[in-house]
Amino acid sequence: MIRHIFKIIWNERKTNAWIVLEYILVFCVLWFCVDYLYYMGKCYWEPVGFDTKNTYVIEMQKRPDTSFNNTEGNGETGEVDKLALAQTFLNRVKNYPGVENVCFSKWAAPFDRSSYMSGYYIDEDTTHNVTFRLRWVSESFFDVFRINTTAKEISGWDTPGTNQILITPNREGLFGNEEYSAPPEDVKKLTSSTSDRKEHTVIGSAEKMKDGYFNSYFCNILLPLVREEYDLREMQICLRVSPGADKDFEERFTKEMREQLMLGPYFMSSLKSIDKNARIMNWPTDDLNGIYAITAFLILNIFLGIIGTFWYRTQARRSEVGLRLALGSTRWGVKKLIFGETLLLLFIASIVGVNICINIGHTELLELLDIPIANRIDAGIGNEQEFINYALAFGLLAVISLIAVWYPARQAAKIPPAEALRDE
Amino acid sequence: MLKQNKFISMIAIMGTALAIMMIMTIIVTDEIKEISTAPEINRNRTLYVNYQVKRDTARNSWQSGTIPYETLKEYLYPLKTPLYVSGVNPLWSNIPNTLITREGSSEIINAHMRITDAAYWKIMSFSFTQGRPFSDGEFQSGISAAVVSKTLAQQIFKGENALGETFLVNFKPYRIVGIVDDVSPVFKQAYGDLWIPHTTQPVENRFTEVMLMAESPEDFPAIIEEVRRMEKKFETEHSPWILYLKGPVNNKVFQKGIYGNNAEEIASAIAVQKRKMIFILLILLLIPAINLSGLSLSRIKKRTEEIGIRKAFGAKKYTILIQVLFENLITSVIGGVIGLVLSYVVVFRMRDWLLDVPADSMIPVNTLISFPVLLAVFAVCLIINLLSAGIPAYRASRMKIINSLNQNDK
Amino acid sequence: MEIIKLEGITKVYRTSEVETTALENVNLTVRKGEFLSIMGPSGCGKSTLLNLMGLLDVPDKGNILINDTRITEMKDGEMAEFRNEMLGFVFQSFHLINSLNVLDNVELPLLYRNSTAKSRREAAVKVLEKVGLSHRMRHFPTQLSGGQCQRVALARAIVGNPQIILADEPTGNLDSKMGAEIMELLFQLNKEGTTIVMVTHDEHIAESTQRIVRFFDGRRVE
Repeated sequence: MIRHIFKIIWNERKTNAWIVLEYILVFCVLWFCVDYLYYMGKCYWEPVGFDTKNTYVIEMQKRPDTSFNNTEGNGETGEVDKLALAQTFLNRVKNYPGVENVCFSKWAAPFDRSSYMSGYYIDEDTTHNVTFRLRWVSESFFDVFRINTTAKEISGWDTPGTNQILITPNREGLFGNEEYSAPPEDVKKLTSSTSDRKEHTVIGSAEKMKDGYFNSYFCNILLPLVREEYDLREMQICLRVSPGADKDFEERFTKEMREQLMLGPYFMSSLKSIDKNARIMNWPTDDLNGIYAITAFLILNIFLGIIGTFWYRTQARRSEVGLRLALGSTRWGVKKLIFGETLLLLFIASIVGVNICINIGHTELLELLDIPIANRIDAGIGNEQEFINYALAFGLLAVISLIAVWYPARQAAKIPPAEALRDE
Repeated sequence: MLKQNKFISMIAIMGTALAIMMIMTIIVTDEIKEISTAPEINRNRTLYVNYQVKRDTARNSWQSGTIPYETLKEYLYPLKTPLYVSGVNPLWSNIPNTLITREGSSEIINAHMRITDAAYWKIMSFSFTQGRPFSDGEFQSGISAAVVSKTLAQQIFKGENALGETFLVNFKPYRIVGIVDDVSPVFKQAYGDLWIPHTTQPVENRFTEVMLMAESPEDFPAIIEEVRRMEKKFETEHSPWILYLKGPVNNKVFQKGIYGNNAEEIASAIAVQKRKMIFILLILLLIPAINLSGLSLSRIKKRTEEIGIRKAFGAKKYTILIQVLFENLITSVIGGVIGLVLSYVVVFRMRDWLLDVPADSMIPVNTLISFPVLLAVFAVCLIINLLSAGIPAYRASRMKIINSLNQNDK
Repeated sequence: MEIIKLEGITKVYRTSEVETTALENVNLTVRKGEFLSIMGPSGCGKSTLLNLMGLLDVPDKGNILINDTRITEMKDGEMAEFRNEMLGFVFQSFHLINSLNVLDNVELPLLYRNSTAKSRREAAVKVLEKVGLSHRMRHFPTQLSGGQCQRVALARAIVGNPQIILADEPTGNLDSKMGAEIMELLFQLNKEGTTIVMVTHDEHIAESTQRIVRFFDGRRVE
């Protein structure tokens, strides 16, 4: 049967060339769409290292009108007891019904655009200056984001002089970079590569972390945020709310706490849900929407193209259908022929398409055109992705084509043979 | 003739409409961002600088970001070639986060605050319903004068007269000196709920995107030249630091949001964007063209006998060609009109993504329908028509008559 | 033995404006091994009769029995198998598939049976030799003359060794010499035991068959 179909396709190659060409083009574009979407999906479902459900971030600003400020920019500020204000803030927020815990941090909150990097030497090695992602956090940070650590005891880690830190590994579970890395449990101390050569003692490690859904798992160093650094405007303030109290929390809290949180020159300017924000801040909406649009466009085009072309063909081959029925084919046999023809054309195109796509993948063509590409190394995707891409692209096109050709095929097989034959 | 095969004609029209819808969505979106219309009435003769890079060559460290006020004051305000130089803070998010309150009321309104200068009002063309913008004198003296939008005035003062009244912006009092008609968020530089002078805000809030309005676009090269000289001036005054001001670029490039650390990077980024646009348009044209081509081929094959008869009775090759192209043109045009209407619908429904504005913003009508847009539709229709029907039509007209009659065109 | 039996067959064609009675209350029996001609002026329902016998169409009234099996009780799959094994068609307008070459066209009926490619090929070659077209095996129908096409159609009809051949004006498009050759082949087949029902308007040719049945206006007249 397949050879039979092959013969028909080959003998009508001029008309078929068009369909195959279209299939090739669509297949190739779809390939890259599928590749990117799969990568996005994989990254999205991987854990970020933070439990952000029911968490919020408060933004505090400084009033521009008070004597605590100047508009000349010469760096002088009036006297403010920042630590005391921060403490009052902490107490008031913690007492609000529903709030489980509050924490302060700098360069640390998840899904925030900021990040801080610096270089360190691992243990005794002094030749490899490895860059790490630094986060300064207060003790309650681990509770707010439900971060489990291997450290025996965290409280007191900010005792001045002890320089205690926690670390997190990369995707493979190692701490370091390509040139030098070690399992986190083996790392005992880190030495800063800046001129002060400060030494830090590693007291434990946590699960790997990334800054956003589609960022890589950088190795992190978590340092204690000391009280002297507390500044309501400069810190990230995050809180966790118990699930029961999380309904309309933003509205209620903003309304009821506005007055209480006017402390000194500071006022609360916004309260945002970290989860909701994650989908806005770190989301490549432009790229994603573009890919969705192109994919939908391709699907519609193939659909229309297949329906149109096969409608014509089955019309033109009415007498042939009648003949086949006359010679002993069943109606299902006729339909099978048409389905088989469509799929075989698709298959031929997919073979050519696969070749083109894999070759393009090895060039820089996509970067030259600013097409969103999957960062495979980051996401830990290997060569098996090519098979997945083929299966998804072929599968999707096959389904669309069969749906499109179903109607013409049905029409063709329904005709009584005599009528079809008379149609010469 | 088209009625003969309604189903196929429908498919052809749908295919054309789809292609045109996609292409026109892109073109209309670009038009909205580029067209010079109030209040951004001078887009075509304005250059933009919204990013700077400061590098310490001695220690190899960088700082980059939007233009701080001191750069604006020392190196951009003094530029001689542009007619006007203005800096306004960039809009970071689509969510308003400035707190507006009023003495004696506990109500808090969230608004979009724009911090700017006196030259702003010369570059933009706002429609003042009452009052006036703040003057250069008021700006230099740091007077807390504000211009508010009609809607904001209404929200704060309800039915009362707002002009001359005082209200609190992030708890600092300002007096309203002017009220303007609301502005659509598609105008990124002009949009806002209230406008206040730089000099009334603490330094940490004074970050700007700078606009340089020229007498005419012919002055652009001279302005760019002068900006480069200012960079050299910075170098001499602040050695070992060097300064790079991104651009200045024209509105078209500015809208694309391209970044880079020096002129070469920006130029290559622009080239990449151009290539990307051409590539996308190619795909959007080619795939439907192949589709429609296949349909046309089949359609013509069906009618070879008819064509043979026409030729036997005296029709010239040229006539046949025109006839086939014309018949296809009708489907193309119908598809084109439908596609254009659909593209407006798409731009409207998906404006939060395409134009980067809040989902319920207004789009001024005169940005949608313009001569370039209509010309583009017509051109695209024609291209699709030629691409899809050209080859089949040519072959049909050249077939030997006897072959047509016998349908012997293997 | 009665291989085909038509009882009280009526067939009406309806369009939105007109109603044409193609056959009215027709009774006809065909015996096994017979060579039967059906004659009548054009438009009198001869082709319709043949279509009904070949199960290409369904009557509005009446019964069709082939080998004593009632056709109306058959399902689509059974009917298909039936057509494939028992019947061979030769149409007036050949109805060859233009996108297949001569050999593939002749093999077509065998595709719907369980057979190997080799056996199909052998049978097709053999039968093409019989009709004298083995030198044109790789050609396409569009490259053949009318007579050659008709011979290919005949080859296709007999490749599966059917019991009955239904031929609709097999010599209608051919000159007298060609026509004689075709008739020669048909007579040969009939001698070997195949039942042949042939529609023709050529009196001369009909005379040489065993039995003639005449139709006029959808009714049998002789």
